[in-house]
Amino acid sequence: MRARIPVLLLCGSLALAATGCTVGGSADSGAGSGSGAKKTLVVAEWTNPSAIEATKKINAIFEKEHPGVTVKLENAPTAAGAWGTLTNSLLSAKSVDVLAQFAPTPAKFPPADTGLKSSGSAALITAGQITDLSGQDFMKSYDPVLQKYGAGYNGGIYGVVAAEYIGHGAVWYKKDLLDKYGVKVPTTYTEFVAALKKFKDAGKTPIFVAGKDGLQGIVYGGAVQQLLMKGQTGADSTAVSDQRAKDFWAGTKSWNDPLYKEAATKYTDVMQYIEPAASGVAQLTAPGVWAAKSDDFPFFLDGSWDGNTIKEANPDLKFGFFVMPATDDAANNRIPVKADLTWMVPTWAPNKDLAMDWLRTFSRPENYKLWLDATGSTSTQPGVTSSTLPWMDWLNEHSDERFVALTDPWIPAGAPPEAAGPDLTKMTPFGKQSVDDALKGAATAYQKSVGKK
Amino acid sequence: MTTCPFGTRRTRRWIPWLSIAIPGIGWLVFGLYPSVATVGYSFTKYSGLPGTALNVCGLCNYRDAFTTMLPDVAGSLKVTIVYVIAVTLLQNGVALGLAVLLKEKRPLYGLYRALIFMPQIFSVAVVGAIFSLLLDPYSGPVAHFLHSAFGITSSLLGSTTLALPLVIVVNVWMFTGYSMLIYIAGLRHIPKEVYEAGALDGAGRWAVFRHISWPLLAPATTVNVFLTAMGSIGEFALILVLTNGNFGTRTLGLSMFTTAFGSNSQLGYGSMLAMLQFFLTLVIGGGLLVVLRRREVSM
Repeated sequence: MRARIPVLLLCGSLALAATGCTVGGSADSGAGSGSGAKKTLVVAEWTNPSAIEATKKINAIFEKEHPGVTVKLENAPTAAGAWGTLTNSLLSAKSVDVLAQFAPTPAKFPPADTGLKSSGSAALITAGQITDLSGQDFMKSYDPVLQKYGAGYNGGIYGVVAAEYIGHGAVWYKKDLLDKYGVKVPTTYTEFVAALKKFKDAGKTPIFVAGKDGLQGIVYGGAVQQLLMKGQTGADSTAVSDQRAKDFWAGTKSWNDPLYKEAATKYTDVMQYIEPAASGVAQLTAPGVWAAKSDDFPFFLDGSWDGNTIKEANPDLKFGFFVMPATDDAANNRIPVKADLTWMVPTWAPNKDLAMDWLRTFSRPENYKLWLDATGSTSTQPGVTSSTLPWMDWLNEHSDERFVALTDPWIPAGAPPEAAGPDLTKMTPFGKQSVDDALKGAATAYQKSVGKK
Repeated sequence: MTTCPFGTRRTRRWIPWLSIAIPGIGWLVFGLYPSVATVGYSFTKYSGLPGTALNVCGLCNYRDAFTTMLPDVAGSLKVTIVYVIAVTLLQNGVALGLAVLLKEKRPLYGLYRALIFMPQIFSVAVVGAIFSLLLDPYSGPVAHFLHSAFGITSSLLGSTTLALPLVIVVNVWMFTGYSMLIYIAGLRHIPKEVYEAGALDGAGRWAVFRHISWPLLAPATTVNVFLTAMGSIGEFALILVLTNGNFGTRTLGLSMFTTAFGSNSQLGYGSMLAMLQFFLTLVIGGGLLVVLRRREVSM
């Protein structure tokens, strides 16, 4: 009988190990609600070094105000699917309280008659997995129109849109270099091209861009945004965006329309001024390379989120930011602002009340300002001015010219990249396709992917 | 009752079953279940996010792949086949050459073999990051060398003509060491007497390789060709890190990964692409096995 005991113990231990149980010991309460005084609030955010540092500071403030609570910050880079994997893991384990997501916007909620299904955070919202925050007191601090557009669905608001960035048309410039050649920040397309020509004639390479990761799309995308908004008020942008999606779906508008041809032609004109091997430059190294070369590359195509990265690469560089003017009427050359990081609270969050408290702490003007200054984001709280970072001067001066960036038409899963517009890696100068062929290819790809051809 | 180190004779009977049961459970949970789930998901429009609806739609994803999405699927398939053929031929050619050079037991040869094998143990993310930096057209040493030595300016991984060959070269660099070791094992297995007989017949180095080493390496060639082809069919991680599928490098595996796990993931459609990849693997793998086995028998 005595000999059987070790066998039984062995079997029991192995069986427990196989089923993931532990023997004699208590599991760490982790994010669980836990019955003890100590609680762990789990906040997840993708890796943006400046934002992570700022969030850690806010977490420290929160922990000080909530004795016994520890905030665990989970993060992973968005590259190579790491962030998606972390998100899925946290959602599967139901072990996250506050989760950062990209603002879904109406583009991610296609109407039922399209037959398309929501993806990403929109799928979570439609499945009832995300808490409606519209009744929360801290939501009053934020711009209601933007919150509704960024995270609204069926009358509820399912997240706090905390960050907005400028991607379309985003251009960084070297202040000293522009001063040296007597070039002012351009306000019209003709002025912009003239500035590029002036630098080229002076033996400089006017534009630096990370073409390997598609940043050249900043020019085409910026032109499309401004051309579509021509003659409209900033407040019309959501309606323009919605109508465009419907028109594309109905087949009455396509990538082959004159507006897109104008944008693509301007894109190819501007691309004459980029560095020769731009298509091989990665976004990871581009800000550093551009910043280090202070006597060349007066302009750099990159989103407004990279200001701190540029500053770190060359602290002595005086640089600024503006949005590329795509028309010759300065009044039409406005700033498309894209809703970005959005905090969401799952309906099953283990520490839901604490999660709301954390969002309350985050939303307090002094804390939110701290976060804005670190990330370079524009403010989504009317009561808090945007970042006072030196390179934000142009944006702050033109803050009344902003509009919510138009989103892409509805596109089915698995559609080729061309369905979302001309593939700029195939179109000249990176590829061999002409503007006409690239636009025709994009129009056909879209129509085929939605089953209209 | 007779006892033994692991209990009685009666209880000892269960030890082998228990030993099988533990890895068996692991295989069921981490091997069979995901495979069966992939088949199931391929008939849905599931986003892949836990807690969201499955949206069962029958053959909708397969229908889309062969109708509206056919140009994209066919394009990815073409790139995949080119990639598999190039990697398989190049990797086996280089590995065989290195094996012939380094098969002997001589001073420092062990170190050379270890150095050639070393990339195999690096993670794909590390290899991707290293080569992205090496091949950067502005800050990378390769571009500097090409420019200073030949006056050539190239965007390297951003070139539609060079991107796919460069990714293939990186893949071969990473995994050649493994193939080399299998070939070395094969070469060392060939009896010395056969070589001596060849020498007596006056066979030169090339004749010895062609008529002795190469035919007798058939089993090692079968293993290497099969493993290389199967490994490269599913490759996506290296391509993701190096080019993100741009500039003509979008394989079926990469399409599957970006669709199933991207920021707007649609696991249903991605699972369907995984099934297409499975059938492709079955056809190529099965075909290779038949051909290579026949070759072994005939030799």
